Amino acid sequence: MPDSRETWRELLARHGAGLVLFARQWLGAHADAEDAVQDAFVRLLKARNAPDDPLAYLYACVRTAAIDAARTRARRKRVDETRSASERVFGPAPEQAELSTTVEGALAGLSDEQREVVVMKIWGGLTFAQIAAALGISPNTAASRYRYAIERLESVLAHEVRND
Amino acid sequence: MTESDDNLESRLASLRPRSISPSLETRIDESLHRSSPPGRAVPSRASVSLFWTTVTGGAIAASTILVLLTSQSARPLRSADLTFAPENHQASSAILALAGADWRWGDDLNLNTNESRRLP
Repeated sequence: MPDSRETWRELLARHGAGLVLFARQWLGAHADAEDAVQDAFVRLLKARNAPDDPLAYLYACVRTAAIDAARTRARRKRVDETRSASERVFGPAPEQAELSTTVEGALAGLSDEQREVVVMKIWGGLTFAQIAAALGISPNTAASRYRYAIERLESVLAHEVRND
Repeated sequence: MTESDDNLESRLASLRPRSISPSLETRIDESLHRSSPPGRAVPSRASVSLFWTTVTGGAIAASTILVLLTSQSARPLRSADLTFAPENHQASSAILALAGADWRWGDDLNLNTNESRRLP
């Protein structure tokens, strides 16, 4: 449990990048997404009762913080601009630069509900039960959203490859 | 899940999200030190304001009620207070009739009891 400092540091080291990626769905800038992750960790560590699943709790907190920040700053409309302008969502691996750009575009084409499930599952490594707990939905709904999202991504990416 | 789905998932998973800034850990640490420990949360300004508004409002309401009650009991009786209200006319006449009624009962009343005793 995240009572000891060591544990939250481990959580941050292992899941920080995935959490920031998750927050960037609503916040275009990497720094803003990190602020949301910071808020989530502070909430987790200040929680009176330690949650059963700290990772699911962190994702839920990041989601709330990111949505609130996006609403407050009215940045939601500018997410795509910011994202495409300078900051990359994925790491700077030169051999994957093309795939990275294609996937970023394909993810942007998904609905918010589908995209958040895909990000949590693939880059967060969460189970459907954890995703369900974080989003307040049933595991079946989470799995269903994921399946539809993967089908959609597959068709979009196949189309992109054919065009190339 | 089909094989192509698995393939796509592994391709997607091969992309690594951008790393977090090294300063993020320090910032979280600082936030924790700045904030108060759990269980000793400092009340927000809004809640303090609400508390004092409630206390002041309650005090004003209590004072008003007290003043009204005191002024009612301390007011001297006026002649107008002693007159009957028009709607009480019927009630007052009934009371007067009752007061003027013959209050003799039992043996005082002439019920011809003596005559009945005289019967064989």
